[in-house]
Amino acid sequence: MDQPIFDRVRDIAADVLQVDSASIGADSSPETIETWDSVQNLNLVLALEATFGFEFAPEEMDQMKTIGKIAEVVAGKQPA
Amino acid sequence: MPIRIVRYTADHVAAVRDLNRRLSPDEVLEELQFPETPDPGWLPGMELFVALEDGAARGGYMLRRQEFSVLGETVPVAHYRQPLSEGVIDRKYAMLALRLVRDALVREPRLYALGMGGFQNPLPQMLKRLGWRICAVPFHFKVVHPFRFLREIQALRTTPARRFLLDAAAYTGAGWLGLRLMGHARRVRNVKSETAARFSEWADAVWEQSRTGYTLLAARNSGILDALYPPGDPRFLRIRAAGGWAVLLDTAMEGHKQFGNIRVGTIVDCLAPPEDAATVVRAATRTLEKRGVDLIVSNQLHAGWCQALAAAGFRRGPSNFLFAASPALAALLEDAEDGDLHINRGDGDGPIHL
Repeated sequence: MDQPIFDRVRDIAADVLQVDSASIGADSSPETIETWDSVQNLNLVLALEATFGFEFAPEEMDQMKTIGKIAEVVAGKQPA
Repeated sequence: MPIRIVRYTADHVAAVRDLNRRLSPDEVLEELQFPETPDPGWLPGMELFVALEDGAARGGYMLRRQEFSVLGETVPVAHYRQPLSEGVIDRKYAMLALRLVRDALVREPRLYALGMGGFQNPLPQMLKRLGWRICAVPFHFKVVHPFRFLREIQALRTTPARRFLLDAAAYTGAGWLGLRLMGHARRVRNVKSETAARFSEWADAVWEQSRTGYTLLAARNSGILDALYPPGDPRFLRIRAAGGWAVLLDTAMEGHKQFGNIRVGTIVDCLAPPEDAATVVRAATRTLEKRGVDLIVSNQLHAGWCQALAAAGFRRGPSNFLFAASPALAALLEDAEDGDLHINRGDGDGPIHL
């Protein structure tokens, strides 16, 4: 896992979902974070896209079921 | 398995039926039901799409392709209708709502959405975050028979104290007087009008004369109007007055959650050059008053029609009927005010429930 990317994704998620970043782990998902509903999910996606400067493809959005998976997708879109 | 969004075919009906059962297992909630046929046969231009995961339907949406007149130019636009996602019951699919709208935007960048039940709901909130232009389409109402209105209007009779006050106002005549002072219960002047069995060449002439008077409006030629308001459907009353027309409904409610048991007249749709709006509204109102309705309602966005309704004794109430334009459609309307757009219940709903 790319730790710096994971940390940034976690901080953005904590900010959007209004939870303590220390409580977010790689397995955190809409099923484990109460505030992560469909509206906050949208806010999270848009915040990530704005921060990293790209738009997620549909197949990438399919994979983004946990914070760890989101960080993996984001890391995969970073220039080498 | 990744989720694929594909055109809805007969092969997907069983999966959609299962989705509907998962979304509302006990009681069938209309807003949580996707059509269990790929060809619901409502309106021309309809296309249905389903989101499939390993054979299971996880959601879907509809597009209704239409022509709009934007600043007098004909522009293809699509109505984004009834998006439904399993995300409402299973957060594992929280991403699907966004995928559905992005998929629709790829198919037609100029989208609009209508209704949506108010700003507080997830869909308009999502569209707002995605940069859509959103406004409420004002709700106008006119009380024709105050006694029956005060005794039956369930939307206001929500507590014993309110029911007591409304009954007191009804039986003492105070309600009638108050509504009359507010401009209600005032009959409008008679206006020359006629009913029409269907739309034909005369409606095409109204369309051609009216379209340049509005920054944005959906095409309303006779073919489109007869599809929206079929001549064989006795619910729709078509009236012609001045240089325009209106489509009306006269519905006897029975135990309605908001209207109780009153007769509700609706000015569903209308078109005329803006300067003729007042005459058409007067004719529509007079027609419904003569038929004996207790209350007349209409959702209209264009300032000319709003003013015409006010002049005929209508007042405004809170509206949860929203109009949303995608960024590509909104870009065409950059210099327009909301009140320059001609949007009403006739846009998108087609044969509506009232």
